[in-house]
Amino acid sequence: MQRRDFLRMAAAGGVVIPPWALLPVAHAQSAVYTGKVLINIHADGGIDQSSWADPRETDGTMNNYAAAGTPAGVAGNIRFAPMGNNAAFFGAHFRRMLVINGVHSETNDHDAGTRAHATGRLDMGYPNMSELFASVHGKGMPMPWLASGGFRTSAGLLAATPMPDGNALRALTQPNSASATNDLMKQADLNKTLAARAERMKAMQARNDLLPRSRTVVEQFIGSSDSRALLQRVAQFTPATFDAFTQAHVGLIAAQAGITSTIQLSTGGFDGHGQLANSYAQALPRLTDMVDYLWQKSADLGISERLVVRIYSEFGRTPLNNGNGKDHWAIGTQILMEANPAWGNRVFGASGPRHEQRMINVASGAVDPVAGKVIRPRHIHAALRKYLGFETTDPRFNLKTLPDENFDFFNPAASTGYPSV
Amino acid sequence: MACIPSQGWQSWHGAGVPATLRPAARSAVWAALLLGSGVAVAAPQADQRGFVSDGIAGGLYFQRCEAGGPSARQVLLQDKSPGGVLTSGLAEVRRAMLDADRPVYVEFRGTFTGDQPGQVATASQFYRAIGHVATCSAMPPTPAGVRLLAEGTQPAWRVLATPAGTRLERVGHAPVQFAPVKAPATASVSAQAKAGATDATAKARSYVTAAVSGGTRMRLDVTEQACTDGAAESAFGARVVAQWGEQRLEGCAARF
Repeated sequence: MQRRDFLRMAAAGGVVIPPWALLPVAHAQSAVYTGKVLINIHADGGIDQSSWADPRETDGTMNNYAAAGTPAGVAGNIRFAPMGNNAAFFGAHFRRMLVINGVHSETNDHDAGTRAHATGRLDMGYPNMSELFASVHGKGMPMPWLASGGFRTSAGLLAATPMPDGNALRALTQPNSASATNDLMKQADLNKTLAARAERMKAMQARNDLLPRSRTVVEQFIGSSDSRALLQRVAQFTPATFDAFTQAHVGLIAAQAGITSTIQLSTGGFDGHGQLANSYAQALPRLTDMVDYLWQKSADLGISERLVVRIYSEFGRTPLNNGNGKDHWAIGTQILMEANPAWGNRVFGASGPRHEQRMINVASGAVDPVAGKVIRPRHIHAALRKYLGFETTDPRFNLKTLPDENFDFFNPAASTGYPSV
Repeated sequence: MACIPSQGWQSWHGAGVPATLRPAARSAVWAALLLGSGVAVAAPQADQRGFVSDGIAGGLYFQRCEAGGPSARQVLLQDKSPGGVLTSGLAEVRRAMLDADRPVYVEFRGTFTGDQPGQVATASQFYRAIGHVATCSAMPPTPAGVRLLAEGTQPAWRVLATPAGTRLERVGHAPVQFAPVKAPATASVSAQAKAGATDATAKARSYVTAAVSGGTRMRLDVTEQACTDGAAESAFGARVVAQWGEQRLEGCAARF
């Protein structure tokens, strides 16, 4: 494949290739990424914690299901709202989950909330967790940070690669493919052409009389062959057809092929200001089915042990309003997931009966009005950076939290439960 | 002259016009009288509902919601609401809403000459803007003849006054019925006289209505000034305090 063709294909597919993807990689196979894959899922709109993993089942002004007398569901130590496909979802995955309740977003605005949960800071200029993770664990990969939604503004560490759809992925990794079953030209002929070109380039490289500019071009072409090999490696994992959750499927294929370390997904419909139960009847299953798909498909692909999933939203929501919907509320819920974690099947943090803010003991997770602290996005970010090994001392970003605010989220013995239920 | 379907507010302000005349006939009579007297025809004031988008150079454009959906045309919107409260309300809503670049749903009282040369809409009184209403079909229902519409949160409540009566709704409680409100006296008050007032000439008015069942009466103090609820992605043209017995409910008014 010509470098020009490669770039043209990438541009046509709307794919951003970081510059280092085209620079020499010493050993292509050793560059294949086999570490943890961080998947950030943005429940867009501000998911109602009462409809999710912090249910309120006795106060009819909080939820329609409470007004109807329907109790919350229980899966292990986790309680969930009796809505959508929650029962199947939490029943299948509660052992993989750490539910963090009472997370204070510090804002009621969508944009600010999205940024606060993506970067851990309300202020602008801080790196997205996806970007920071990819900058540490994905440097040198063709697509270290694949994003199909959520906060994508770069802080300058690296740029997000827009998630290609199935056709774009195929065009990028198999430029001779007209479709899943047809080639643009006979592959055997193309192979001969590519082999001849490779020989010619090697011969040119061996010459002593090339002008500097020509030599640079030749060396860049030969040097980028390893990155091309990495992309072509994706071809062996690319199916003839893609699943309904195409973006998630493409992300998992990229992870399986070892060309990405971070996948960012988004699913919306959670801004339920009016008739929340109706809008959530579609939005909740879309979210839970997608996460369920990620775990099932990753198991099929043999990479489920590598996934760390974070499900977050801009903020939580108020009790029911006049329109049977719910407005913005700074206190909300996050869920962290991993295959067979020691810290699974637990709830850390809490909110009040009407989702009021609560102070939480950083070590035990208990509600502690005296010595407790308010859980904020920055605390979850700090804990995940430590857990996944992407802490940074970059002087551009002061990402430190106060020493007495290091919540022990991943301590299997620390648990809050549901003191307000 | 544009013939705008008569709505409650318009009817309520139609004093002096024979009640037996239909709106269209009434408009025609006015037009004939004005034309006959040589006076330029002014577009009638009416309640307007639709979407406002930002134009270049700070202009606002209005696309009215009509019976069959949004109007095919956008017209320039002139904000002549007191203190430009419509424009500032829009900015507050945009700050909080999802997809802040899309048009914002607004309700205001003013004129609309979108079907005439010079196409323009003018807002003289801002009612409310709601960020999460994305289509005309999703706009909130406004009961016929509504005289006063106020609402608040934590806990959620709403007061709806029509010529037939006044109703207080609270989430988790049965509605309470009151007598119809009477036309209030309007007064200008100073910023110091009304808590939270920012403009020195904010109009204030009070309504008192008795409970139908002979219980405690309710008093509603309405001050025409910006009132925003970022959590609900909403901004209103008036602030309201409802006092009912020991209960004091604070909120915003969308009709006043």
